[in-house]
Amino acid sequence: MSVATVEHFVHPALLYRDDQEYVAGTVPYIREGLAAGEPVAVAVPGRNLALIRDALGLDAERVLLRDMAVAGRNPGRIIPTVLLAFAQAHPGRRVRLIGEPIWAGRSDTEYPACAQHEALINAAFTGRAATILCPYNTDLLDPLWIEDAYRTHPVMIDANGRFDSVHYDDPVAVAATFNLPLPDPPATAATIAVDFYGLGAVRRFAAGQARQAGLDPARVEDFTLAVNELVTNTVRYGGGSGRLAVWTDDDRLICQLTDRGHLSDPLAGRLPVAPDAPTGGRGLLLVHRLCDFVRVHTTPAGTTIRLHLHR
Amino acid sequence: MAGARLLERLQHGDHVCAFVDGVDDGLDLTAQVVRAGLAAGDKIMVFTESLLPVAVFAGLESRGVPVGDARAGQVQVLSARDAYLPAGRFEPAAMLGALVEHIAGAAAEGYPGLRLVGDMAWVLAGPPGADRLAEYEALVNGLYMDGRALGVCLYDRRAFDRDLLRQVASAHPAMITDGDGADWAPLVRLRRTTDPYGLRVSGEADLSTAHALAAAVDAVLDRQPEPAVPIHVDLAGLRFADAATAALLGRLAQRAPAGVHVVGCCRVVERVLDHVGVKELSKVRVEPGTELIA
Repeated sequence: MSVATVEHFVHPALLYRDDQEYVAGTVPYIREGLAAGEPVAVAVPGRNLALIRDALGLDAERVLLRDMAVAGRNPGRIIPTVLLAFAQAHPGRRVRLIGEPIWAGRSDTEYPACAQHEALINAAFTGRAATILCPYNTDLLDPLWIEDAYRTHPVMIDANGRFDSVHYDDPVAVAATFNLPLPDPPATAATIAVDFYGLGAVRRFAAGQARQAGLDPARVEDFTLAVNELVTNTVRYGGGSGRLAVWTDDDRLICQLTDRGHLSDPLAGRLPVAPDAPTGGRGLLLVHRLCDFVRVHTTPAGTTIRLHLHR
Repeated sequence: MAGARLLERLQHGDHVCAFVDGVDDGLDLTAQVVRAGLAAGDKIMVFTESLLPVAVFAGLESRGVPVGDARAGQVQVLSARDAYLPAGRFEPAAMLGALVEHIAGAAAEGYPGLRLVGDMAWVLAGPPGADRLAEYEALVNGLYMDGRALGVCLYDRRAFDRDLLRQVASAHPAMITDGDGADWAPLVRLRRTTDPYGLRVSGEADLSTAHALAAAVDAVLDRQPEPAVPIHVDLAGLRFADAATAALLGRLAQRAPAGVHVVGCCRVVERVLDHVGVKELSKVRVEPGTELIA
């Protein structure tokens, strides 16, 4: 086997219909990795995590198990804080992961960000020695979402075996198809203008809105930090000024920032940055880490970013 | 602005970018600095460009500043052009050297501190070296942060280019405009500490003060007396820091031979240090702070 073959990135989708197929598709894959001495991590929603943990028995101790509904609640942070974080924790070794970012509870607002994430895994892991298996529940998920899995995964696995996806396409191009406009904020949203001289005023506005929405003090600070990073990007890269709107719905605090910038790097905010690196690039990364959901719509004419925090 | 006396609450070590609209506005601010300086017994130097020195004195008197009661030489009003452009060109190093002498001179004359007002309108004529203005405004923090002088730089916002004003503003740890209300305070205060040696930052560190903070970090590293001892970074008064500030402290830790010892973080600052990964650097020791009860 040549070095090139060993080094390459493998990203299969596992199409499963029930618990039995789920366990059959995941547990042998995990054991194979353990047998090969590979570090293994599993990040799937809680119920499926329990299925895997039970099936693994004692071997579960040798696997990093994370609830994707928590760690990957915001799909935009899965690459930096779950997948690449695990790979970077094991430098020089081939790693094996299971990542299930799309489950039946994902809303239509969330889904485009999930699909973008699935596409961009291919770009973020190019040249890395890793295998990431992504389970899709064909029984519960929207059939269109399954079709998308064929575009974001080069290899498919179902009950009959493993095959190449003929619909797999350039990850950046596929991610771009989910770069969709966001709805306007409601007319009742509180708004504030953003510019270089008003960063402090924007922080006070954000903190006030978050307190009013009933967030606890630590989450008020998280929201303020996230909003500050967004508006800092607007001032630095987004044409210098923008408009921030904040409102609430039943269970979330929502904020939407519009400016005249263009986020041309599809991986912006998705790649870890060393704490002492002389570069920027931490702002959006921090926003992804702090928020429960982030969606971006960006064009050369302007960018809109939406954040959600659960109340 | 005339009614507010915001600049009277400045402390030695502060460096403020003041945006003014015209000559009268500049005089109002100058009067605040001089009045507070006289009350503190400090020496005061005003570098003027827009007005002749005699007109500045007249303006101070008409604003009720008791310049007549001052010690001989306590209030000096000098030509900004002579001060900033001694040989017809602007040399940041030469200006910094002159300020060091002014600060030492004030101390030698028995003043507790020196207060400086710089009317920066001399830049508008585009003298040679004027392109180094933002660099100078950042470097001068290295002097002010020793806490023996304070400076207020007057920029007429109708006359200066918008982008230049932003660059210049972020080289100052604080700015003031006529929109500021009674609750105004410098956004950031930067101080060099001596025992233990290090940097104290208070206020809210964001993009609008980024160049000032970067210059303060450089200044603290440059004159570190004992490189084998970690640099003490006192953040007890820091209520907010953005990701870039956290990264700047991470780089300080890597550049300092013995790293940094960070004390006094409030929750939000500790959180950003954590998320940016600064807390996990081996050259960073973070001592948890006491949480302020809101």
